Amino acid sequence: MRKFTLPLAIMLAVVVVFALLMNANDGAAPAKFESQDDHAATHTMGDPIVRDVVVSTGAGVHIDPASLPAPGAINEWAEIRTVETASTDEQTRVRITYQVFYGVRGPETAELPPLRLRFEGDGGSPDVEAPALPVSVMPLIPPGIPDEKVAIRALRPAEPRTYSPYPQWLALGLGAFGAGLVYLMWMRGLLPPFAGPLPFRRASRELQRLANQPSPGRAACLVLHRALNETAGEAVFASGLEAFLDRHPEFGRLRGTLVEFFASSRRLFFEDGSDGEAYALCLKLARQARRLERRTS
Amino acid sequence: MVTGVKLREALASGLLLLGLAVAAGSGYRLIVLARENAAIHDPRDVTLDEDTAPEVVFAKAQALDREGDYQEALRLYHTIQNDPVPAFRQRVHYNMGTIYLREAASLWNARGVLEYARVHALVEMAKENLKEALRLNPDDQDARFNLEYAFRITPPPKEKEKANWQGTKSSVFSTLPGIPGGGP
Repeated sequence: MRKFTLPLAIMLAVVVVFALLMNANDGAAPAKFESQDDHAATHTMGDPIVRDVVVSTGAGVHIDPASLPAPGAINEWAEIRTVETASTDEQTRVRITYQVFYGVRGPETAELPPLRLRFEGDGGSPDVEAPALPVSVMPLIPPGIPDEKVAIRALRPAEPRTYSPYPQWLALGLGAFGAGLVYLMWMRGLLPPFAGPLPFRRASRELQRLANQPSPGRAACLVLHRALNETAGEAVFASGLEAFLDRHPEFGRLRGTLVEFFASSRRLFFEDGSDGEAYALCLKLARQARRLERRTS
Repeated sequence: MVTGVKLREALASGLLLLGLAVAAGSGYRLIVLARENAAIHDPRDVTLDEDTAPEVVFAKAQALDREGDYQEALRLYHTIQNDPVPAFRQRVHYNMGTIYLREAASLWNARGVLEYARVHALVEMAKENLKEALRLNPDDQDARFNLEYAFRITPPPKEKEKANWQGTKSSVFSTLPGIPGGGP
């Protein structure tokens, strides 16, 4: 009795597994060829032909990329250029772009070969075949012209190289260079038409004009006071010198000369002092300040 | 205040130097381009080397072809057929295909089947190059036309000669040794 039990159990197991597998296959939604676009157009040498094949699929079924045709020649007269796929849950669209290299002397009909696509998924699906696609091909050279009378098209000439974008870059570079240069010159007061009021520069010029006067000390002091006031935006007195230097530290190194200038000015105007070295001091101070002053706005 | 002034002065100096560099670089490129365009316009005296611009080589090849030296022209085209610019590559392949086709057509029309082998080789080269030109630009009507013409003048395949192994003493069988008598 036991002798028969083991083989029977094995047979039963095989039957059960087979039934389960069959069940699994029944459950899978198979892929099914749905449509491909119709090619009513007539093609000529070199034309691309786009073939759209639509396959309906169930959920979880997808195309096996290995079953897609590879770009390259498929026969003597056509090549595959690109292969693209787009899938949704219900369908897969395969777009193949062919290119015609068919030399004909009159209208002819040819066929793009059938397309066999493999799908895989839960339980597997059978292969799907899109039928051959007939295409019409027309000649470009009118029929009836003897071969020796056909004039082939001319060679392409060499094309001059375009200068773009270098002229634009040159203009941009020159513009940036010019802008930088003008700004720097403007900052140093080297652009006379736009120099505007650089007080110590103007004071230097005015002081030079005073050089030939008999006692230019007082006038020179006034010129320099005006330049200081203009630079500060307010009247600057000896007591306010430190505040002025705080706001204009570029004149910091002239502190000693400025103190000396204020002392000399006080002597000249309030202590009835003589001109002495006042003019020379003012001129020296104006020249030093001119070198240090910059536009600040 | 001073920091702000110095910063603006530094920025202006930077702008000045940058502008100078850009202007110098583009000016140099413009001079080079002007020289190349002069060479393209009149390539007869151009001496080619590794650094010669592909378009100048193209112009030189064309000048050589015009002077009748189409083989040297094809050799030059071969040196630039792998240029990275597709539009330029397309023109190179078109010209190569058209030169091969022109030579094949003149040979075919002059000598016919007597020059079968050369015509066949030239037409095949013409087809390959014109196909490549069309792969790069399917809208090139001239390449389409010339390729169709190449197909038209493709010589029909020659009939294969029949093997004639029978008969004569000079055939290979007459020299094969026989099986010695008494062998297995």
